[in-house]
Amino acid sequence: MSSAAWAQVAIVVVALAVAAPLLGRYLARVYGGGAAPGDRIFGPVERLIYRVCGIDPEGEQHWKVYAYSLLAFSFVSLLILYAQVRLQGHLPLNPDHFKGMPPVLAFNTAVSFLTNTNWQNYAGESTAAQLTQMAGFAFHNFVSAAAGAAVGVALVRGLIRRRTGNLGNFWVDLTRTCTRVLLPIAIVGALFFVSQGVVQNFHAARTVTTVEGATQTLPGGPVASQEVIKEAGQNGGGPYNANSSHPFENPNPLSNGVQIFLILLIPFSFPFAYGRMVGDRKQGYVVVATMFVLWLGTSLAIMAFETAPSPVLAQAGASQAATATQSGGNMEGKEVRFGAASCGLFAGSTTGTSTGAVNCAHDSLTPLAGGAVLLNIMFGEVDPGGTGSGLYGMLVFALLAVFIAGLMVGRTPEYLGKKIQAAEMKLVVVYILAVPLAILTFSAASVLLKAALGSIFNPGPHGLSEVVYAFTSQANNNGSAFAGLNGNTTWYNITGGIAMLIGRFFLMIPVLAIAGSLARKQPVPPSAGTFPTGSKLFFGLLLGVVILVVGLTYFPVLALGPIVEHLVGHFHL
Amino acid sequence: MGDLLSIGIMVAFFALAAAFVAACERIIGTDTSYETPVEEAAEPQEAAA
Repeated sequence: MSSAAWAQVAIVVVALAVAAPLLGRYLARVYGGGAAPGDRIFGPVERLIYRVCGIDPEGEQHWKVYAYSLLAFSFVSLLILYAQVRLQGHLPLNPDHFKGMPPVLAFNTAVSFLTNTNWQNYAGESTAAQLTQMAGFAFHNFVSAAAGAAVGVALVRGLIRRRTGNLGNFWVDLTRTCTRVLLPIAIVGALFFVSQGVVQNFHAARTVTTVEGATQTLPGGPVASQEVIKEAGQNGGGPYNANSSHPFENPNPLSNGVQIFLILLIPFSFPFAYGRMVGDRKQGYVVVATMFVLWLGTSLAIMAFETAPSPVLAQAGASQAATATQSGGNMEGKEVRFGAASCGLFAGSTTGTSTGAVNCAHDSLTPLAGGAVLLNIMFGEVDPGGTGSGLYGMLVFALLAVFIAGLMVGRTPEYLGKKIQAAEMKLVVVYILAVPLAILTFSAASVLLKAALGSIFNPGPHGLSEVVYAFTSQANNNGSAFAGLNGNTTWYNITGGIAMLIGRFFLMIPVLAIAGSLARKQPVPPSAGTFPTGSKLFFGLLLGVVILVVGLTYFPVLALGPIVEHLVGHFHL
Repeated sequence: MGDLLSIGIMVAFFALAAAFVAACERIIGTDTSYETPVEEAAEPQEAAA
């Protein structure tokens, strides 16, 4: 890799090393109860919301009530978004006169934004009205991220509370995440993106004549305001089909770097908040170190695969050398203003989190880079994952790791003084199996059923990768697409929607149940048999558990897809 | 028809999710012993002067 590529990584790492601990400190005070910074500004707004919605902010909720609140909020907001998408042709702020989406596409789209996935079986600039983008999709970009944060914080409370059935208040956690975390970042970020040339208007698409005499249609819309929460809330759904490859969404290397930073900022901040909330910062450092090693490793691997010459392009006689007009390496599907290395860093960040925004075509990645982004999503969005969801995902792996450690030494496993028993482990198993079950079942059906086979444009191992990627991305609430697959069919819209719902709620509910179970336990004091979970040894164990569990689950399908494709291309089979 | 299918799937899924909450409750059990206050060790009192 070039020095410029290394510099990109270094800048992002330094920026995160400075900002994430500070934001983590702030998050700990936001969720910790008591006075928090900004009470004077945010307090009146929140009190107004509570009064209008009839919320008692002092009311604590049992885990079941917390879970039912999450489900009720999600169900109602899903129905509203579905209705809005279907009826957008009759609603205002639709200067391009788009009709309502067809039912199954509307189902997939509404579920996609509800679940923080933002998988898009449509092109935004030719399908979604501006009101749909602003009041539908962008609203869910805030609240879906906030719901993830609420569940993450509830799990932390389950670990630190003792002999109680309560985990806090879902409505308060949802509101405070929006008002105190996401909105401030969104306002500052949107103004920054506007300054860089990201469009923000209510114009209909305009047809213009270019300097070469051709005609071109330029889309408008409130893009900057959606762009920032798209990245900061790990949503990923762009107003335009090309997402962050589009110059109106991501005009230059500075905006690109800021987008990568925003994608990673909140997920890397949550473990720092966690360390402060549990009163042992080392616990947070272990979680953040595990996330960081996984993210850095996969990102560097993707960058290395993409900046190295592709054997298939070399065979075709394409120049892959670094010149004044291209960065070198595999430039297929890349923006020349970003280059292959930036694509790799963006791809590693967007798939390690639950974002799914793209600044290059993932379908054009070399097979091993494609396999790496696929593996990154398969980790279950824990490196560093989404807002709150990255933290709870990694904490579930931590519970599994202490259980394995307990088996090795023959002691009852403990985590932060709470005994991890059969009930928690059953829920951990449910959590770990739910997503692979959805991915592998739907993928297998898609390569067997005639109704689904017609969507695959590329035969062979690459076609399999595309199918597996589609369900992996949706079930893990990532939302990036491998492309090369027609997802806008009844089969893919419905199965994809179900996969997204499973990947969201069949993980959140066990997490809340684990939190509820742990909250009522009395912590036991550490003894000689207690495994030190704030140690380097536990970091190694946690890292190994994540890699082993995911590797064993998905290796066969990775071998049949990206690995076979690499061998075929490399050895000209 | 498409709307009915879509809304039917949504309703069915959330009904299943609500049932899943109850199933998870069954896994962890309905322990309410935490509602009983733990008897704390009595604070050593200073002897009256």
